[in-house]
Amino acid sequence: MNDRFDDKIKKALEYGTDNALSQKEEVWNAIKAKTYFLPKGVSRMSRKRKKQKPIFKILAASTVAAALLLTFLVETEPGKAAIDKIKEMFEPQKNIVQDLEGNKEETVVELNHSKIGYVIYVDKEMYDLVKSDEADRIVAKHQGEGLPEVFMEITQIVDKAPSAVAADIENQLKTEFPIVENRGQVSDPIDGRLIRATTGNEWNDKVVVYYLVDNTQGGTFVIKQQYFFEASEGHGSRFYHMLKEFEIVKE
Amino acid sequence: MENNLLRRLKDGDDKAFEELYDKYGEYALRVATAITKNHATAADVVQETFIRVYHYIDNFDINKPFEPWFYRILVNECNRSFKKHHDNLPISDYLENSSMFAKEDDHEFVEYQYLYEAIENLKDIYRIPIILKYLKGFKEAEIAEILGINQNTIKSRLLKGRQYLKLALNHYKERSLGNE
Repeated sequence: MNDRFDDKIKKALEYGTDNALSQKEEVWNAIKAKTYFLPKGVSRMSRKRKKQKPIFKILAASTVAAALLLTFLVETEPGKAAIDKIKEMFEPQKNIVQDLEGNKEETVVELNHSKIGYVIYVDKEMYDLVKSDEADRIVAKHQGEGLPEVFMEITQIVDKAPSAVAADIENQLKTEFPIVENRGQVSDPIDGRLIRATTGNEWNDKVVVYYLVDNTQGGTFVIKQQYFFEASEGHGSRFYHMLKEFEIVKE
Repeated sequence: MENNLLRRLKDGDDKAFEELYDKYGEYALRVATAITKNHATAADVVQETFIRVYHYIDNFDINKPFEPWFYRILVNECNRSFKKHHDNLPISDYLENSSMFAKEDDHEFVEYQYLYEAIENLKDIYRIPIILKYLKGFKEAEIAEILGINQNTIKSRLLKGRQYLKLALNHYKERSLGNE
């Protein structure tokens, strides 16, 4: 009798909550938006120093080697020809596969060779590249009305190491944002220091993400991403993938 | 197997997080719905619970059982939502709005419906242990751990809650017979 009654309680609870299961996918999508598909550089995952796969080690080594070689070659005339050769290392256009809102998307990206000594591949279908003497800005073509502007900006501070720049930026952000996280050194999508700030966790809250990358000359590349919270898995993910292609080529 | 999943999650494996949701998401939604009595609030609670798990998995001791830790977060989130929203849908509205109660000609179903309503009307101190025990199958010691309450107290609350439900069901049956 008791077992039968216990069974009835269980069944009543199951009947009473069956409808809740229809929300499973919707809830998962909401969870993903706030965690899983955040750019890895701004998620919990990136705080772990994952073991680099050999290919990344090779790429990292080749970046440093390219920077050193270019610095050396630029001093001589024959060297200039060699620079062109090395630039050929970077294809003018290529296809990358991005994880966007749970789907794989193949995107054509175009090479941007900056005057300040780096290359990056830009998704020109979604973004405009606005260059000036001080900064390169990759700006979303479609901006939401009343929402924080969406862009990624790359500048260089020639005389300050990333640790010093990080301290300045963190202090500055603390005066503007209620939530500021200094995540320290990260390796994904790029080797650098990461600081993230947000005005909150509502869909339209402003999110600012800084990566501070050693320029190998005693200075720092300052990469600033800005978007709104709900765009983390969209623009945030696209910026993440573009940043994975960032390479220093000091000339 | 669970330890392996949790280890992968701790190592930053995104796929493991999705597998964890597949494994625990449904019952989390059931339990949150039963506790909050509101589907939308339950969805928010489950969402926040998994986000907390994602962010705080490093704090979890992998040598301990996962579910009590998980459900402690979930119940805390339910409590937080109670404090935040004092506007839970009244149970009568919930019953009216819920398509599952359309089949009123099914006697057994109506009995479950009545019993579910009786559970919802229990005081929280009886209701939440009942939900954890009967919906999720937790043992008294685990419920005590989840709720941070002495095991004997849980035992006594389960007993009283169950007695109340029995009385409620008997009352329903007598009423049904009287109407026939």
